[in-house]
Amino acid sequence: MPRQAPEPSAVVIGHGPMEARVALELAEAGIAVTLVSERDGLTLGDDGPLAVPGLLVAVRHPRVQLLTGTALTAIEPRVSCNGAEAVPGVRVILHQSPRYVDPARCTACGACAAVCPMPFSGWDRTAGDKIHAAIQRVAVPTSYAIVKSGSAPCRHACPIDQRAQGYVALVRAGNFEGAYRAIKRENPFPSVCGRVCNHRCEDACTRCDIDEPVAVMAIKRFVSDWAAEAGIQTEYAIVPRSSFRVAVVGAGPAGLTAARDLNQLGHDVVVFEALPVSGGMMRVGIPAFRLPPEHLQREIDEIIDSGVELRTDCRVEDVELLFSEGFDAVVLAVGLHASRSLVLPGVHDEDAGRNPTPSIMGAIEFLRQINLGARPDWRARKVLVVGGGSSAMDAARVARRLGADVKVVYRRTRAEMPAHDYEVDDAEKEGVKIQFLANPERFLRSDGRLVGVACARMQLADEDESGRRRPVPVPDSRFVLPTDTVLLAIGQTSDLPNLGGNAVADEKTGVVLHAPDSLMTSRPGLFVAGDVAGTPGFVVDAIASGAQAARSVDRYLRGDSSVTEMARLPQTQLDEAGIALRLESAAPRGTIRSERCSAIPENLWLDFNETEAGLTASQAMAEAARCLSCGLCSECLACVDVCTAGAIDHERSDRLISLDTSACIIGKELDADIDEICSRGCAGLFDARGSVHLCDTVPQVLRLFGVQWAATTAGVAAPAQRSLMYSGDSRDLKIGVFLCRCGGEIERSVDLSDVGERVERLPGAFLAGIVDFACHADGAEIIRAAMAEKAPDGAVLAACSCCALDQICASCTTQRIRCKERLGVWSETADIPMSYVNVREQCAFVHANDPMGATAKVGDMIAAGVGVLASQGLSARRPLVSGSELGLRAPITASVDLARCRGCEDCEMACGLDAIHVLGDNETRLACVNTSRCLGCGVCLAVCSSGAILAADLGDAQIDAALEAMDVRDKTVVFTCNWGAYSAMEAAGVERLDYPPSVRVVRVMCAGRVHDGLLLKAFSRGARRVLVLACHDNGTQSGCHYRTGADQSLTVVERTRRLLRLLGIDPSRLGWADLRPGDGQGFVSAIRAFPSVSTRPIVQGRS
Amino acid sequence: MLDGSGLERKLRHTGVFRCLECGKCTAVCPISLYDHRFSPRRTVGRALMRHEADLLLDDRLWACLTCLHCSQVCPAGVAYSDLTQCLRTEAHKLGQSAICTHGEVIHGWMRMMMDPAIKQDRMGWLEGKQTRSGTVERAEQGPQTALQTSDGSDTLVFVGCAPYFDVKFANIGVEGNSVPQAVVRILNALGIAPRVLADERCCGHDLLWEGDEHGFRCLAELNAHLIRESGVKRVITACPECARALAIDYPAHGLDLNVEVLHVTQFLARHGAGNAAWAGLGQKAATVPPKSPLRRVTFHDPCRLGRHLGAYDAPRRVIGALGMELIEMPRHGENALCCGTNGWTHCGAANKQIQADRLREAKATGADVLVTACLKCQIHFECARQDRALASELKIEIQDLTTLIADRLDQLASG
Repeated sequence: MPRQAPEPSAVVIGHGPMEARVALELAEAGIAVTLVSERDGLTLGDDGPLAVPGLLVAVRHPRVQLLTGTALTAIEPRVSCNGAEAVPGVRVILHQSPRYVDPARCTACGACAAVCPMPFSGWDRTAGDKIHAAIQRVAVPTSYAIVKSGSAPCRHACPIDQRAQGYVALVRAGNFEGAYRAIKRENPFPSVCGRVCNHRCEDACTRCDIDEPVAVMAIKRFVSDWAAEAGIQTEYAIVPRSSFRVAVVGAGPAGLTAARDLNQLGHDVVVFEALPVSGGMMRVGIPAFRLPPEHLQREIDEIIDSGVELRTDCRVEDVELLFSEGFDAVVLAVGLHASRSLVLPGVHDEDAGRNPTPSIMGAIEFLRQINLGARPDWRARKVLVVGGGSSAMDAARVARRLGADVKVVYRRTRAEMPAHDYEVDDAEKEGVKIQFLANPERFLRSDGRLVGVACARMQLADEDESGRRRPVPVPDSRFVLPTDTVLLAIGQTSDLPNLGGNAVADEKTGVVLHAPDSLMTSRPGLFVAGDVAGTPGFVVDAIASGAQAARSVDRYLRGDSSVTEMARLPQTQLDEAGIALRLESAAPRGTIRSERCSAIPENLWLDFNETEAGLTASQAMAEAARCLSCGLCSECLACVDVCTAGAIDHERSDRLISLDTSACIIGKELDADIDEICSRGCAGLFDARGSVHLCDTVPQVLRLFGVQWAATTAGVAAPAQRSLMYSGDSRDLKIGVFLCRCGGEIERSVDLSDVGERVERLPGAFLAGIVDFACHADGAEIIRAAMAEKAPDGAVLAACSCCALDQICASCTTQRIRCKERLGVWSETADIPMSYVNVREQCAFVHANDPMGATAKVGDMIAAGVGVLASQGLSARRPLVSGSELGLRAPITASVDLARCRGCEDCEMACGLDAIHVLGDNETRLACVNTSRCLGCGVCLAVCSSGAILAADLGDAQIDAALEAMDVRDKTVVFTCNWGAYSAMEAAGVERLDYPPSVRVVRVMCAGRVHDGLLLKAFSRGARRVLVLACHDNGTQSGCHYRTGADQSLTVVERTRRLLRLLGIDPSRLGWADLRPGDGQGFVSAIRAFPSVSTRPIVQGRS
Repeated sequence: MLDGSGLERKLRHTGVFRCLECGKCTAVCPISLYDHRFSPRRTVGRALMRHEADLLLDDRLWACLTCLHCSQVCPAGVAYSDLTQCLRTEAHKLGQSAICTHGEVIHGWMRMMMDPAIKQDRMGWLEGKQTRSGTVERAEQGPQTALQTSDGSDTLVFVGCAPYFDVKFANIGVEGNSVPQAVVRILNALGIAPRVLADERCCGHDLLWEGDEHGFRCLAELNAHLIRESGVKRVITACPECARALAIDYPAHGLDLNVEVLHVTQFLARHGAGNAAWAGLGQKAATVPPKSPLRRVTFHDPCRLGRHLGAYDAPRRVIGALGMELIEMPRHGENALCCGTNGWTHCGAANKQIQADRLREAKATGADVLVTACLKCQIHFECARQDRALASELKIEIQDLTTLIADRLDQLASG
C-alpha cells in the first residue's frame, strides 16, 4: 500500500544536557527536532540553561527548532483518520506563553530596555527567578522578552484601560513626555481626568493595603500640565482612509473620543454640536475653577487637528437626516444635559418666561449659562441647592462666586454624599452651608415669588438597592428654609433628537435602548455612547463608551459581526511576600502620599480661577516612586515607540500548539508525572529519565525511521569546504561592503554617510548597499540581489556579526546566525566569501558618547574586514568560510597542514582537551586532530613552531591583515578571548559599556591562541599598547574554557615582555588580564587600568 | 606579469645557463630526499625554459636550505643557492613570501630592528645568568670570572641574535647567552678584552636569503655604520651566518667594512699561534686530559661556516689543539649534511627527517657530544631531539663549539 510516510520528526521536552545531546544526535541523523523549554529564553550565567553542555550547539543546529516559554500539556496517541489504525508517533500538545517580542524581528539592540521605566533594571544573577526586569535580554533566541505578572489593579479597575502603572513608572523615571504619550493612548482628555475623575484606579491600588493609594490622578494632572507647559503635541498616525463617513452627535467626552478613534481607524468623521462650544459636560457642566477651559480646549484642538470635522451651533434634530445625507453610521452621544425636575407643590413659576434666571432651575442649566459666560449678580440672593452630588457642589460654589448666600439640602448624611469628600470640603471652605437629612416637600411662594422651601427632616433606614441607607421622613418634622432661588441637582436626563427607525429611549433616564456589547440601537448603524448609553456618568466612563462605540462602528462598517473585546490579562494580586519584594524597589511603607492642595481665594466674587494646585515635578516623581509596579511590565508601551524593528506586540496571548511527531522524548528535567500526561501507552513516547538513557533512547527513536544509529563520536562528517584560490594580485579584488543600520540604532552614534565615503576610499572596496536590518528577510534579500548584480569577489557585512564562523560561541546571536544562514545558503552567494565585522556592538554601542571616534572605528573595522578577505585571497591556502552545505555546519576545529607538521608533540602537550595527538612511527609522526573533542581554541596553533596548525577562525595572516587595515597606529590593540573578556558580555545581558574608541579589538577563540609573533606584529604595526585578555570562571586554571589557554597566554606574554625589553620597548606596554566570562565591566576596567604610556610607536619596518 | 629578459639578466651571474642537466644537485639535496616535489634540477630546468611564473610562484622555492651542497658537486659551477636567492628576491617583490616558523616572532624582531630610532636593551647577556642547565652546573663549581670588555679594543665581538634566542628558546634548553659569553671568555683567556656594541642589529642574513633585500639593507647599513664608527680592525662572531653576512654580503652590497671578519674558530686558528696564552694553554692541553663529556666529540659543519666560508679546518684544528678526540661523521666537511632548517622558514616533516638523520649519524659515531659551531644548528637539532618518540634513540649531548672551547680553557686554566 503506497502511502507517503510522514517526515521523521521528534519533539524533545526539556533543556538539560541529556535533552541537548538527544536533540543534537537526532538532528545530525537528519531528523527535524523541536526542543521545548519552559524558560522564556536560554540565558548564560550561573544557573542559566546555557551553562548546560551542548545546549547552545543543539539549539543552533539548523534542524533544531527551539520553542521557549512552552510547557507540555498532554500527549495523545497518533491515530489514523478512522481511528482503527495506530500511526507510529504521538500528538504533542504544548502551551506557549507569550513573550511579547517576536524573536524573528528583534535585533536585540536594547533600545527598548533603555527606555523601559521599570525599576527592576538589568538581570540580577542573585535574585534568580524572583525579580526580573520588565524587559530582559536572553541569549537564545537572542532577543528581549517582556515579563508580565498580570494586569495591574489600577489598569484593571479603569474603564478605559488606562495604563496607569505605565505612566506612573514613566513619571518616576522622569520621562514626562513618554508618560503623556502613554496617557493619551487611551485617554484624549488627561487634563480633565487629572482633575475631575473618580479615579477607581486609586481605590484598586495595592498600596491601599499597606498605607495609602498612589495619587494616580494627581500624577496624571501633573503630566498634562507639564505637557501643556512644554507644548507637547500628540502626533496622530497617518492611516489609510476608508470610504466610510460617520456622524457623531454631541462633542462631549464620549462623542469626541469616538470621533478621534474612528478617525484613527480611517473613517471620515463629522461631529455635530448643538452648543457654540465643544466639550460637552466637560465644558459647560464643570465650573472653570475646577477645570480651566483652556486645558480642555487644547485637547479638543488636538482631536480636530488630527482630521475630525467639528460643526458647532449645529443641533441635530433628526438622526435619519444624517443617514440620508450619506453618513454610513451615526454615534449619538448627546449626553444628559437636562436637569430632572422636582415635581412638588409650588414648583411652577409664573414668571418663568420673563425671568432670565428663574427662581427654580436645574443646576446643569445654571452651570451651562455661567460656563457660557453669564455673570449675574446674585449678591442679594439666598440660594438653596438640592442634591448631594458633584453638580450640587459645583452649582453651590458657582453661586457663591456670584455673591449668593448658599445652602445645600441633602436627604442623607455626609457619608452618603455622591460628591467627593474634597468637593464637599472645598464647598464648605467657600462658605456653603449644608443641611443634611432634609428633603424639600413644598416650594413656598409669596406673590408668586419664591420665598422658601418647606422641608421634612429625614432619618436613615435600611439600605436600598443602591447600597445606601434609605432616608425616611421623621414624622411631624417639617421646617422651612428661606430662599429665593433653588438649584436642582437631583439627576439629569437627555434631550434627544428624533431617533430613526425603531430606536427608542427610556423616558425616565433618557437612555437610548441598545445592545450592550455593540452599543448599536435597533436602528442599524445608529450607535449610542456616553450618558445616553447609560454609562455611570463620569467623564472616564464617557470616554470608555466613546472608544467602545468607535470599535463597534468600525466592526459594523467592515461587516465584522463579532463583538469580541480584547481579552485582558488577569489582574495581579500581590500577596504579602510579593508586596514585600516590590517594596524593595519602591518608596518604603508609610511614605506620605502627595496630597492635593486647594487654595480657596479670600474674595470669591467672580473669581473663577482654578482653586487646586497641581504637583510639582519632584512631588510627582516622589509620588510615582510609591508605586509597587504590580504588573512588572507597566505596559507603558515606551518600548513599542522606540522599536524600529517592529518586534514588540503587547497584545500577544497564549497559544496552544499541537504537533504530530514521530517521537516525543521526555527529559529528565520535567517535573510532571509522565504517567499522568499519557496513560495510554503511546507508541513513540520515550522517557529519558532514570533507567532509559541516551544510548537507548536515540537508537530507539531512530529505529522508528529505519535509520541505523552510529555513535557520532567521530564528529559530523565535515562538509566539503569551499576555498578561495587567487593567484593574482590583491589589487584586482572587488570587495563589496554592506552596511546595516540596525533600524537606526547604529546611526545613533555612527555617521554612515561618512563611513560610506571611507569605504569608497578603500582600495579594492566599494559600497554595495545599506540595509535596515541585515538579519531580517528583506535586508538579506537586498544583499542577495546586490551580490547577484554586482558579483563581488568578496563581501564585508558591517553589522553585528563578528566572524566567519557559523555558530557555537556564546557571543553569536540568533540574528547573526540567521543572517549568515540567509546569506550563506543561496546558490548565488554561497561561493562569495564573506567577512563580518561587528560595528554595532563594538562601535555604535560602546562608543555612543564619541560619535567621531565610533565612526572612525567603523571605517577601520570595515578596512580590517576587507584586509582579511584580501589577505585570504593572497595566501589562498586555507578555506575562508568554514562553510555549511545544506545547512550542515562544519565543526569548529583546528586542522593540520601535514607537510609542515614536525610531529614534535608540542601541540599535544599544550591542548587542555586531549584533542590533538601525534600518531605514527618515528620521524614520520604527524599530529591528528580529534574533531569530536577539538573546540578550535587555537592553543595548539600558538605553540606549533613550524606553523603547521591552521586556525579554526582567523589565521595569523588574517589577523595581521586586520591589524594593518585597522590602522592600529598609536592605539590600543586588545587580543581578547571569545568567551570571557568581550564578546560574551552582550549575550550575558550586562549593560552597555563605554570605553575609549582608540581601542582596536581582535577577537580570538582563546587568549592562548595569541603567540609572541602576533604580539610583536601589533607593536610593529604601531600599536601604542597591547592587551591580552584571557578568561577564568572561578579564579582557577580550569576556568578557561579550553583549560590551558589562559595560563599559556600568560606564559607567552611574559616571554614577549622579555623580548620587548631587549628591543628597548617598555614591557609595560604589553598587558595581560583575565576576566570572568561575560564580565563587560571588568573589560572596561582592564582597559582603563592599563597604564597610559607615552612613547613613540615603532616604525613599521617591512618593505 | 614578469619581465622575462630582466630576470634572465639577473640569473646570468648564477651560472644557471651553464647547466649540463646531470642531476647531481638533486642527488645530494637533503630536501629532495624527503620532499619529492622539490628538485634543484627541475628548478634549473624551468629557468632554462624561461618559465618565470612557475619559478616565482612555486611554494617549493622557499624550501631550499641554501646549504650549497648542490653547488659542491655541480660539474658546471651553477651557483644554485645564488639562483635561489635571486628568485626569492624577485618573488618577494611580487608579494610572495616564505612561510615563517615560530609565528614569525623571529622575523618580527628582525624587522623591528630596522627602525633606526630603536634603542635596544640587549647587554644583559654580559652579566646574565647562563640558562643551560649543564653550563650552570659547571659554573657552580667555582665563582664565575667576570667578563672583560673594553671600548678601546680593536677587536669587536659581534653577538648576533643570541640574547633573543636565549628568551625564545629557553623552553628547549638551548645555549643562548652562553655562546657570546664563551666568545668573551675565550678572548679574555687570550688576554683580549674585546669591544661589544650596545645596539648592534640583526645581521640581516635571513632576510637577504628570503629575498627581502630592503630589510637586509636597512639592517646592514645600521650595523656597518656602527662597526665603522667603532674603528675596530677585527670582528669576531660565534655565528657563521653573521660571519658570512659581514664578510661576503655586506661588501657585495657596497658596504665595505674594511675589517677582518672571522668566526671565532677562524680567529683561533689564524691568530692563536701568535698568542702566548693560547700557546701555553695548548701545551697544557697535551697533559691535562679532558673530562667527560668533553673527551670524544663529533663535529657538525654548519653550512655557512663550511661550504659558504670554506672553514673546514679551523674548527677541527681548535678541537685538536685542545686535546679533544674528534670522531667524524660519515658526512662531514664538504659533504656535511645540513641541520635541516634555514632562516626560520619552511620547516616541516622533511626537515625533521633530515635532523633525525643527522642526529642518528652523530649518535652512531659513539661520541659523547655533538658539537656545532652555529647556535641555529643547535636549536634545530634540539627541537628534533626532544621529540618524545625519538628522544631515547637520539639521546646525545649537543653543545656549541664556542662554549666547549671556553669550558676546556677554564679546565686547563684551573687544572
